[in-house]
Amino acid sequence: MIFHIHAHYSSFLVEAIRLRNGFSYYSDRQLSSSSTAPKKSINSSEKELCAGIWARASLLNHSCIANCARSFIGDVMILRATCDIPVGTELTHQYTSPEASFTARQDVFSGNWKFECECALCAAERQSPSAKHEQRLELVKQIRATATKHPQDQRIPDFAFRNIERLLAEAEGLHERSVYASIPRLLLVHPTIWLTTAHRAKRNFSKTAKYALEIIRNFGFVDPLRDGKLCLNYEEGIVNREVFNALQYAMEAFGGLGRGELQKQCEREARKLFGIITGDCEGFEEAILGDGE
Amino acid sequence: MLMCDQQARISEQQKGIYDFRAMGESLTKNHVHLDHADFLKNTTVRNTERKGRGLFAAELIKRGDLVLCEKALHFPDLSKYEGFQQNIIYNFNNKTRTKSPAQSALFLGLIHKLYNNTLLTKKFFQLDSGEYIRTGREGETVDGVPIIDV
Repeated sequence: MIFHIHAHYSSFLVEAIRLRNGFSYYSDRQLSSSSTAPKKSINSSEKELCAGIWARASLLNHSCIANCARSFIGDVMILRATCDIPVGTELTHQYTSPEASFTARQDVFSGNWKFECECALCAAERQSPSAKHEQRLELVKQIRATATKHPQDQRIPDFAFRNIERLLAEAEGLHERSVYASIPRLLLVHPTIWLTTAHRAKRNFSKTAKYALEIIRNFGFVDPLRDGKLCLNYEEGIVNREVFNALQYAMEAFGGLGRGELQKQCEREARKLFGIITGDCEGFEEAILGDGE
Repeated sequence: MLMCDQQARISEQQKGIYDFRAMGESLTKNHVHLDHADFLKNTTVRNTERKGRGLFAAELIKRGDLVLCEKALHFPDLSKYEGFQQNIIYNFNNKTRTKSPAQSALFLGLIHKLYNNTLLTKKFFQLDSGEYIRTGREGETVDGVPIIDV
């Protein structure tokens, strides 16, 4: 390496650009050193962090309710539309999956990328008074503390279900309709996931279906069930792996309830979502079966 | 390059038709740089009101369709960086610390690649550097060699 006083480019500048523009991902393809076909699995535990610079994709701005989702195959980035995008619309993706709490989320954005998020979700949540934000956060912390007392690999007593359902209803009540009627309620996501998986473990199909749909609603797909049909508004909802998982749970539960049509609709949406999130539909069957137990 | 490869690269670049399955299957631990064309036609670069440059849809893109497919400007092959677990980058400019082997390999790989490839240099230095103050002469060369203060 060369030392020079009048540096024409500085390694600090390279680093500043890397920090600002770098992408990283956990390779979910389990690569062997031989050429045997790698398997794609959506919730794989054996993951390796990969990092790179993609010049064009670096120009994408962030939105918590993004219209694009990225995936990778080696050094190739794939970006797919999560909803129909009219010509001239700005393309966005999530720099990172948004923190559930509004204030924590803004701290991440200003800390890492020095911007204030103006997406539909953040703009709406900014209208909610900070006392309300704190109140909701406190309650959700309480729910988490209650939930951690009952690990899901053990039998969960009925009173724990009742407790968490009651607290969840209370937390829902703290989301004023004037702000939250048609946007995601990210703070409610984890309690609803807890209830979905806990009811699923008890093979309570109707509760599993109910809370799986609640997960989907809390990601911004308001009224996912309309006239007995699955109806997801992709312009307003957040597309991610949790929604994919929720669709799987709903699919399975509707199957158990003998509601074959809804089961099929959930599967269709899950398949489409899988393709968008992972780049292509290859491996969907294995992902469904793999996460089935 | 074989004729059929050329055809495939052209339909990737023009129509965004890729054989992702075959691409996925061709990956191995030390084969992570895939030979494919970029598909950029659906996107266009424009200034936004408050967020600097951005990408915009050049045409109607339907849900699930390919928006963009791009090869990395730099993507380190981690099989060549064995023993990188120990590396830590301390940046005294902004007090960040980087422990991930992938990230430090990316940094060192960039320094090396930018030194060797003046065309790439131009593309790279157009990217946003936040509050870092530039000289405006980054990437210039002296006697055909870029100068780096490493």
